[in-house]
Amino acid sequence: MSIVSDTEFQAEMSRRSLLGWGLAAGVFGFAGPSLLSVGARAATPDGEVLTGSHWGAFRAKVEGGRVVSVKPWEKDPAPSHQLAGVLDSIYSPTRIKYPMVRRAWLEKGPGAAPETRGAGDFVRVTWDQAIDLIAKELQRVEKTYGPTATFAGSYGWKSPGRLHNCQSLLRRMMNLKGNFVNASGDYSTGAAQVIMPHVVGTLEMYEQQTVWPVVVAETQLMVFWGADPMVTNQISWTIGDHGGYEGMKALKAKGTKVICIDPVKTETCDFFGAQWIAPRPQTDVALMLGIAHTLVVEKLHDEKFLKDYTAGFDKFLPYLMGETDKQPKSAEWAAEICEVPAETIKELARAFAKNRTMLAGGFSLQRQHYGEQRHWMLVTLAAMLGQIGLPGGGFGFSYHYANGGAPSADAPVLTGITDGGKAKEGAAWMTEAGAATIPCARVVDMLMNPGKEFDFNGKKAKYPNVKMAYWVGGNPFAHHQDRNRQVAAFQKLDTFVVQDFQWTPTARFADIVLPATTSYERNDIESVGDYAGSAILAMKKVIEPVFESKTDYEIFALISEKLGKGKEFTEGKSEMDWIKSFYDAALTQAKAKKIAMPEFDAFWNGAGVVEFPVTVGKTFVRYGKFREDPLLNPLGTPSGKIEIYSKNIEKMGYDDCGPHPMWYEPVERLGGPTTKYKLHVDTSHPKSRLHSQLCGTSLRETYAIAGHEPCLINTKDAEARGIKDGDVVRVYNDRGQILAGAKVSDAIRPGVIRVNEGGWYDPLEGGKPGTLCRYGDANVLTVDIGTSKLAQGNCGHTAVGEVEKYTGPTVTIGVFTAPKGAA
Amino acid sequence: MTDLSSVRARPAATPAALLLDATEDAASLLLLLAGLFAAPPEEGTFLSLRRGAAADLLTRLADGATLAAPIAAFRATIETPEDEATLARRLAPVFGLLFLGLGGPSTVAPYESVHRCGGRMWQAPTGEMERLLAAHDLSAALEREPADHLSIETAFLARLVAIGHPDRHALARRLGAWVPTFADDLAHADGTGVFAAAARLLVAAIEHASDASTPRNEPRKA
Repeated sequence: MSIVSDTEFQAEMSRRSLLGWGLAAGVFGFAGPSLLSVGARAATPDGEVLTGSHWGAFRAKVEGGRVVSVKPWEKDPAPSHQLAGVLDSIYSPTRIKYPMVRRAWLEKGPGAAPETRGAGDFVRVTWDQAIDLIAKELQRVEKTYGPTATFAGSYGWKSPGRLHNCQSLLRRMMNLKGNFVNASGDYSTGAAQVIMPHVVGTLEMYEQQTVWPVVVAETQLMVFWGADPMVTNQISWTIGDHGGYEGMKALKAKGTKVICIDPVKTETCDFFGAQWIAPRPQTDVALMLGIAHTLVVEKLHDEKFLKDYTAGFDKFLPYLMGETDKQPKSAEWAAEICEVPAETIKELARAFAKNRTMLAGGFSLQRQHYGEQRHWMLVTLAAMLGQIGLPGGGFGFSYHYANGGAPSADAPVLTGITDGGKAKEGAAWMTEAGAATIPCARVVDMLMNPGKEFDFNGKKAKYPNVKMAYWVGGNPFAHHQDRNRQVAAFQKLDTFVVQDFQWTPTARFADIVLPATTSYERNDIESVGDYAGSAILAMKKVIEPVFESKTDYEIFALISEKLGKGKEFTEGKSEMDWIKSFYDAALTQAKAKKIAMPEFDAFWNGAGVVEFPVTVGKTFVRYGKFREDPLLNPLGTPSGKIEIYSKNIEKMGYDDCGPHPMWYEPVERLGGPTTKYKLHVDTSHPKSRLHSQLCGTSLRETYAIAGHEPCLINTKDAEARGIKDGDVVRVYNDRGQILAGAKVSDAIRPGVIRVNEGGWYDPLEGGKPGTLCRYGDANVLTVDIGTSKLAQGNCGHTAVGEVEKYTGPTVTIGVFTAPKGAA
Repeated sequence: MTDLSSVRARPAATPAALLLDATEDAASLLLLLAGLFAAPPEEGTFLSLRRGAAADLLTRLADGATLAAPIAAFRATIETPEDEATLARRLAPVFGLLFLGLGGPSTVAPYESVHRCGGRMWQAPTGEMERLLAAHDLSAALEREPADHLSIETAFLARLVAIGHPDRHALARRLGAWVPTFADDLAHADGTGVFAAAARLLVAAIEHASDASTPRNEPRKA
C-alpha cells in the first residue's frame, strides 16, 4: 500500500465524517445497541465500607465504584475462609443482568411448552414489561383458580438484612394481593422442630445452648453426634459472629475428652483429636437405644431425675427392655444394626454416665426417614443420664449451628419488615399467613398430587392445586430431594417466577426471571450473631446495583403498585425510613434497659456498628431454671415435664411415629433388610459453601476434583471397584445419576460415600428428567418422602446407591464460569 | 450514524481514499463483530450478513489472505437453509446460554476481567478500560455493562482504527491478549459454531485492523 501523507489522510477522514465511529453498530442497515457514549463517566469516591454477610462482618474496599477486596471485621474471632467468595458472587458472570422471560411463555402464554423449562431459551424484557406480566398473571391465576393456586412459600437461605428479607417481602406483597399457599417449617430441622414442642415444649432447635464458657468449665465429656461444628459454624442466619470457635478452642485447650459419632471422620473430630465412632448412617436410634438399655441393665440411669422431670419413662421402659415386642434393645441388638461393637456401645453408656456429659446432636440426625425419633431418643437418653439442666450436662442441638452456645449479649431485639401474617410464637418463618399451608419440604409432592390428603402434626389437609409459584431467596433445585421428580413436578406449573441475583439452577427453570441485587448493593441493617446478638450492624450499600438489578424491596413495591397496593406495601416509607424505624425500635428498648446506643444518625454515619456487653449471658445453663424448680418453671408440654411418652402423639395414631421414641427401619439404609444398593450416600454440609451458595466461586477450585464435586470413598470400597484417587466416577441409584470426582480416604467408614449437598445441578439435557448431572448434585440421589406423618420433614440424608469409575463420553464441566475447555 | 452502503458508493480515487477504504472496512468489521457479541442477533442482522451491507463488507475483506479463511468459516455457519428470522430465533437462546450467564456451566463470559482475573467481572481491566475511554472523552454505553465487555473494547478499537489514532495498536494488543482465549472457550462451548466462528474472525480482525490503518511509517505492533 502506498504511503499516504498525514495531511491527505486526515483530510479524507474528515470528509468521510468517521469521527463518530464506534458509537453504535448501526452501519450495516440493522439496529444495534449503542456501545460507546461521548463523555467520560463521573468518578465515584473510593473508600472502605463495613457491611455483613452470613459469613461474618467485613470491610469492603471500593475503588472506582468497584469492590476490589474484602477483609474480615477486626472483631471477628474466627473469620471464615468462605468470605472470599463474596467478591465472586457480586461479580459472577452468572449474575442475572436484566428481566427475562422464557420464550414459549412470552409468546404463547402461561403453561406453554413446559418441557422447555430448564432449556435456557429466554427473551430479554424491560422492567415495565416484567412487572406488568407478573401482576397480570397473579391476578389471572387468583381469578381463574382461586386463592390456593399461587405458591409463595418460598424457602431458602436468603441474604441477611431486616428490610430486604425477600421472603417476608414476597408474602407481604401476596397478602396485599389477596391470598396464597404458604409453607411452614424449614429444611434444616423440619422433623425435630415439630416433635420437640411435644417433648420439651419449645421449638428447641434454635434456642440458646448452655453457653461455651460453662461447657469449658464443667463438661467432662463432649459428644458431637452427627455434628461438625468446625465446618458448619462458619455461617449464620444473621451475620456470623463465630463465637463458637472461641468455645471450641478453649475446650480443646483444656483437654476435655471429645467423642464424634459420625460415619465420616469430621473436621471437628480432627480438631479435637477426638474418639471416632462410625455407625452405619441412619441407625443412630438403634445405637442410642443400645446405650439406654445398657444404662438400665447396669443401673446407671438416674431414676430420680426421670421421676421428677420427665413423663412416660415407665411406658418407654417396656419397649426398651423388649417386654412389648420381645426384642430387648440391648447393645448386642444395636450392634447388629449400627455396626458399632456391643462392647463399644456399653463403654459409651458407662462413659456418659460417669462423666458430666453434653450430648451435642446435629440437625443431620433428623433429616432422615423417621428423623423425629433421633432427637426424641437423644433427649430421652440425656434424661436417663439425669444431667439436663446441670452446668455442662444434658443435650444441645445448636452447638454446630450459627454458633449456638456463644454467650448472648445484653442487646435489644432488632425488628424487621413483616409479611402481614400472624407469626407463631418461637419461629418467625412459621407464619399463619396464606389460604393454605403445606410443610415446606412437601412442595414437590404438592405439585405432583393436587387434592391428595396429607397428614401433618395431628391434622389432615389436602394439597392445593397450585398453578403459579414465586421463589425468592432460595434455590430449591439444590436443596430439595430427588431432583428428577422435582423437574417433572415443576413442569406442571403454568408460571414459575424466580427472583435472584444469579442464574441458579432454579432460575434456569423459571418462566420469568427478575434480577435482584446482592445485599452489597443496597442498604440494610442486621444483628451480629444468631445467639450472641453481640452487635447491630449497618449493612451499608457497598456499590451501586450492577446491570439492571433492583433491590427486593423495590421489586415488590413495583409489583404491589401495579396491583394497586403500592402505598399499603411501602407505608410511604423509603429504604432508609424502614431501616431507621427498626433501629429506633431497638433504641427505645435499649433506653428502657439502660443499654448504651447512639442515635440513628450517629450510628449510621459513624462507625456503623454498635456493640453490646455480655454479662449474665456468660453463665446461662439450658434448662437450669427448670431443673431448679420444675413446678415454678414448667416446660411447655402438657405435663410440664420432658415427655418421653406423648399422649398427644399417641392420639394421632400414626404408624410411623409412635407415642415414644423407637427404632423404625428406614425405607433404605446401609445394610437394610430390603435395601438394593450397597453404599450409603452421605450428603453432609460442605466446608467451603453455604449449601449451594458460593458453588459458583473460586472457592470451588480448592475442593473440586477433575472439575466435579468430590466423592469421598473409603479405600477398601474404592479398591473393590477399581477406583483411584482423582478418577471421575458415576454415582447412581434408581432415582438418578451424577458425576463426581473420587477422593479415596480412610476418613470415611466402609460402605459410605460422601457427596456434599449444595453442588449445583448441572443437567446434561436441561429440563429432561433422568438426565445425567454433570457436576455432582447429591440431591439427584436422595429420597423425596416425608420423615413421617408427624412432621413431614425432608429426608436429605436418606440415600443409597452405587459408584463406578466413569467410562462414558467426555462431559467436560466448567461450573458457572466456564473455564477453558468447558463444553 | 454512518451507513456503509452509502460510503461504498463513493469513488475511491486517491491513495488516501484507498487507504481509508481499507481502514474503514477494517473498522467496519470490528464494529460488526462488536455488535454480534453485544446482544442476541436479530433477523435484520442476518439479512445484512447474508445479502446486505455486512455481506458486501465480508466479501471485500475475504479477498485478503488474512481474513479469507475465518470469513469463509463464519459465513458457512450462517448460510443455513433456514430463513433469517428462524436463524435468529435459534441463536437467541444460545446467546443467552453462552454470554448472559444463564447457561451456568456453559457460560463464556465476554469480559476481559473474567478471562484475566480469576473468573470475576469488574476487576482491574474494567477500571483500565474506563480510564482509556475517558482519555478519549468516551464511556461505555452498553447498558450498565462494564467497560471491559468485549463489544465495548472492540467498538473502541474500531473507532481508533477508523480515525487512525496511535492508541489503536495498544488496544489491539490488549484485545489480542485475551480474545484468543475467549475464542478457544467458545470453540468448546458453542454447539452452533456461529459465535465460535465469529470469535475466530474477531481474533483475525483485530490483527488485521492493527495493520490495515497505518497511513505513515509509524511503529507497528511490538
